Amino acid sequence: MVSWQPLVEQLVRERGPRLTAYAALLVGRDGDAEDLVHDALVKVFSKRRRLESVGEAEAYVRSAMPSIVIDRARSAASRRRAMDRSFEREPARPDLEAGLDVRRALRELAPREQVCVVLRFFDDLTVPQIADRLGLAQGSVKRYLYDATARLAPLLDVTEDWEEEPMTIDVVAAKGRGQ
Amino acid sequence: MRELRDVIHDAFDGHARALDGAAAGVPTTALREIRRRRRGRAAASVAGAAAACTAIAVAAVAMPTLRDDGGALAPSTVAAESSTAPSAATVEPVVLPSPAAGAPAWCYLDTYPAPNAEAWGPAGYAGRLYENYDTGEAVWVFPDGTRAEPGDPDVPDYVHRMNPEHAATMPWSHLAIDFSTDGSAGGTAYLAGPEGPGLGYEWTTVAPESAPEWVDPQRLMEVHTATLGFGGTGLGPAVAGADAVVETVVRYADGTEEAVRIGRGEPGATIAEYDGLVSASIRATATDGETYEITSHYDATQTYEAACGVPVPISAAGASGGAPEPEGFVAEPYLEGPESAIFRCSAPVPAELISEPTRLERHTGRYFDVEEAGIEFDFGEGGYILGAPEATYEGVEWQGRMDTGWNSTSFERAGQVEGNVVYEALIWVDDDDRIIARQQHYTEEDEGLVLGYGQDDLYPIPGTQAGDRLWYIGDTSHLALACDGVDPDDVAQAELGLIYGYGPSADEMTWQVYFPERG
Repeated sequence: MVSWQPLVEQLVRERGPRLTAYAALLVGRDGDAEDLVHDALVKVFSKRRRLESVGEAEAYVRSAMPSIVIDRARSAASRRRAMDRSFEREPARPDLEAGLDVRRALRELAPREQVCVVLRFFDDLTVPQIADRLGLAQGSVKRYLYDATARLAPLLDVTEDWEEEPMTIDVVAAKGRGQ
Repeated sequence: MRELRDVIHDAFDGHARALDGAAAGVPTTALREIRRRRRGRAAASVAGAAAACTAIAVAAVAMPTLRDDGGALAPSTVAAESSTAPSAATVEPVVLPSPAAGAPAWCYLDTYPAPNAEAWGPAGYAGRLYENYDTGEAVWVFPDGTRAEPGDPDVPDYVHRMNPEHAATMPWSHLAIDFSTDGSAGGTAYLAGPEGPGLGYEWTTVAPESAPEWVDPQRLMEVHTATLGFGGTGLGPAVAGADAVVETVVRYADGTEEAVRIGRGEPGATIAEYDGLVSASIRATATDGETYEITSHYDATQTYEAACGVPVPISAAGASGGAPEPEGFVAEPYLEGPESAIFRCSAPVPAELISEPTRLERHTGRYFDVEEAGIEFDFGEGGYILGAPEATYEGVEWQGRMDTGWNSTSFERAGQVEGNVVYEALIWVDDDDRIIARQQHYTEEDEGLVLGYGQDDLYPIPGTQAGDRLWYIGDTSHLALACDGVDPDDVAQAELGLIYGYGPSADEMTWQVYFPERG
């Protein structure tokens, strides 16, 4: 087993930008994305799990983020607190321009819609997989995706159409528990 | 017209590239929070669910010594190095502070100051026992600051020193143990972390004059004291019934309120942010919506640093948090201790010992909230929550280091010692219930199933005072060690089982074997 602290440091050093960019898809703002990465690191590494590589750690941290966002959305108090933290950060980190139009468009969505869109169109999860991950009904996930794509289509000049089955399987790593 | 998938991937790639040049280090707050949580879980497993003295673990502590005449020494440098505490070899010396002129008497840490009794509200503060397991010293301090030795006539009968062998298993060697008037106690390491000496003068606790029948204000407060920086007991059904929701509620000057639910067996939640803090409460809510809340008001001018005019002395190891992960531990194999009289490799499991669990839940998924534990588990492709009966016995004391798979619990309630001996081990059986694989260690620390480093797929859940002993069992396949002559491929097809025994001693055990796949 790799000792947790060097692995955290290596993960942030080598994969920090990818984690933050992924988090930004889920929350929209770079500052909030850093908070989300922070919380996901705490969530994953507080548990004494076996993580053998930085790649496996990245997959775990990324997979922890959507449920954190959903949990935050369930708690208005937590959401206010997260906003307070982002306002308190000095100096405030401006959003980077790269990909900002997409992140701004995603911010137009409700938190659950935003998470479902990222899991469907970035992680290429199926509707049942998304429902399982987030503890939602499949019908709810479909509704979120239909509503979200309808709103995003004119904002990003993309097609509204989407297939219920993914084109590829990607991202969420296998458990990799030293088997 | 482009696909949404392509647009999102392009945005991600561009953003990640742009961020690449500005990569920052790990936020120190993240590292601190991870350490705190990992320490908290370790503490929970050390103290055990039944322990009345649930310690909030910290590693590096220092404690002033006492003059021969009982008076205090001048501020001194004390090394918390210990021959018994596992972490002590790494602990840096601590220089006791010199408070500013006019500082309150409790600022002088070499005088064994009494904590602030007003912080304790309905818990009823009885006093503090300072213990130094390196030197064997112990000093009892009453709320008014009067000092005595444990065993003196004026000292409550329930004040007992901790078994030094038990203390030797902890990752710290000096404790300040605060007692409530009902005899329960919570220990904190002294001078070890950012919380300082845990004197609590920044807190004043207020509780409603009357309480509903379903809540015990004293026990509820004893859970809450952990939030205030003292030790705290774990939440159990005796606090507010089995169905009440109990939360730590933190309020800030800007009106922000945070509520964190407290899991069974867990003490009150830790406060993450003190800037702007107004109060910390513990709130119990019954199923009909009735609430009872104890509130501790925070005064930032009365923290140790603010009131005493000096920073809290923190040793380097204390500041970086927690016991170092031990190295070089070589565990003995399972099924080769006293349990081998019944359970052996290649022998069948006695049919009469195969039992039905009192609780069995199967879950899948990467994260699942286990309410009783207040923490999250990874059930992966399929895991279990399994329950079994457990009993404790009067007069059973902690047994010290035992054989692989064995452990013991001992606690005191109103002066009575109670405890048990427990054996836990995983096995894998073939179609004839013959043991073809046994548990192996990949952890470096632990000789039993009690939480060890990396041992996250099998976890006795704290908070078993309600009766059952509960386990979280995740993906344990990597723990299977094939018996001699057994093809590892056969082990991959074998059925998982859990051997569990409890009793007053290793010679008087009640044994069961559980096979969760059989329901």
